[in-house]
Amino acid sequence: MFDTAPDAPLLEIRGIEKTLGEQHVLRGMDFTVRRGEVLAIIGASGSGKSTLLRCLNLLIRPDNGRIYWQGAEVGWHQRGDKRLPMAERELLPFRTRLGMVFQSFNLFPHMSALENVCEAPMTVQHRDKSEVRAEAEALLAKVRLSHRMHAYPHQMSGGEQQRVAIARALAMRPEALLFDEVTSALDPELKAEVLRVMRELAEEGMTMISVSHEMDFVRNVADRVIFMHAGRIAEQGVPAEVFADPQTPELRAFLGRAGD
Amino acid sequence: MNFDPTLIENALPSLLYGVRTTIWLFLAIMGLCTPLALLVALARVSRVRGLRRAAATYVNVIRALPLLVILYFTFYGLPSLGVFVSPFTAALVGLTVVTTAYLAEDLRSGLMAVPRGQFEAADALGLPTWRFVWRVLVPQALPVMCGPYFTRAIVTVKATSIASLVAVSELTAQSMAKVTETYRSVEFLAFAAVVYLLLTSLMAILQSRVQRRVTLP
Ligand SMILES: Nc1ncnc2c1ncn2[C@@H]1O[C@H](COP(=O)(O)OP(=O)(O)OP(=O)(O)O)[C@@H](O)[C@H]1O
Ligand SMILES: [Mg+2]
Repeated sequence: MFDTAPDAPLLEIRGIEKTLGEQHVLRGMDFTVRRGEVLAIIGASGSGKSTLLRCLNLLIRPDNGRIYWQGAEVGWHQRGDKRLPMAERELLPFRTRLGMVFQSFNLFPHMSALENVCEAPMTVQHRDKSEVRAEAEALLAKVRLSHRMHAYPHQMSGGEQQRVAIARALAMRPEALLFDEVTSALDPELKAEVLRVMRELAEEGMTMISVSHEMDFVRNVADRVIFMHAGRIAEQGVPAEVFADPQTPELRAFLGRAGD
Repeated sequence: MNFDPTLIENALPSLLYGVRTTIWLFLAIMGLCTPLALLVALARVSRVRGLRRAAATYVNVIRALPLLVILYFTFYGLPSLGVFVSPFTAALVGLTVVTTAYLAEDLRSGLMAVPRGQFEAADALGLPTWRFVWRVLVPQALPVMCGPYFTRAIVTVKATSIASLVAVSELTAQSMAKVTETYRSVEFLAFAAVVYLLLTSLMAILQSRVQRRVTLP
């Protein structure tokens, strides 16, 4: 599908920039994500975290910069010295390699938990119905929702809905997962059950890029943390080290607020 | 003033012909403009700028013109352009063009009521556009679209009467013909009014039925 290099990083980001409206939201981001790595992204509200995540799977197209998936550039064709944007259709094989989970769950409200999980594998990947269903049941069991398989989103707690959303993303058999503040809308008890699922996924070796304000999660689960400020990486490194010795006043201020 | 029901009885075949024509005209308009208006509404919320612009232009131009002017155009204007159609077809085309524009606006409000997150989730899962439209967007928009849709249907039942001005023998035309013939107006106008009332009431009943079925769990 892609002209990939086996020893290349799973995802490589070079000089990503994005302007939304009048605002220069991303001002040049560079980083790489290795297979199996858990990368946390933190930063104040409005620093561009959600925008970055949406650029990673090309839900929105960066104005500048390059994205490499296993060594192959995605999003543009190089024709001589011209760069032509890929059609939406061409992006799909790449986009579905990355699963995405949202702060607001975004389950399809008119479908049961099981139908939510089955929808995309059946219609996008055209997989066999009974196989998809069996796998969906297994995924719902994995997120501890076997007993809620036929419930509709409005009948479930936020924590349950978010776990269905994780199962829905996993059903596409993605190679990495993107999480955008997936516990921010939840009460503490409900947070815990979602974080537990995420921790288990990390232990199984799933590659994860997670925007999160759960400092315990970042500290204990993430291999690396990126602190964003004004559309750039202000600091990065191993969470324990970065938190113990913040270099910038912005991160010090951010950690001060997060500790409250 | 006296009311003579035997007048209606004697004119019944002619009046019922008008009722039939009105119902056919109405059904044909709704049958055509429902899918067309959905397409126009989808174009208006499309990611493709050209589609959005074309749909907006259509809606705005049609809304700016009086219904009667459009009907006169399809009735007198098309033949002068070499397109010859029956009065019924001329009225059907004119009313469909107009109703589609208004209905498209009604349906668009339903589409816009679907949260942005649903678009994002479907995009992230890679659902193809049409699959997204049928499986995610339309089912969620239906409960919101239902009320405006039937209101538009009721407006359209009544709007068919304007076809009487372009030689279509529908209910209003047939009733007025009898008024001219007998010099009695109350009986025939009452008949027409009752039929319009029945048809619009039917729409109101249908609306509450459908509304219950499409409301999300
Ligand atoms: N569609 C848009 N048009 C214009 N500006 C936008 C748009 N979307 C986001 N922005 C702006 O871009 C900036 C970054 O937004 P983004 O959502 O990426 O921040 P964030 O770090 O995720 O914040 P939060 O922690 O609140 O989720 C914000 O100032 C926001 O107002
Ligand atoms: Mg955000």
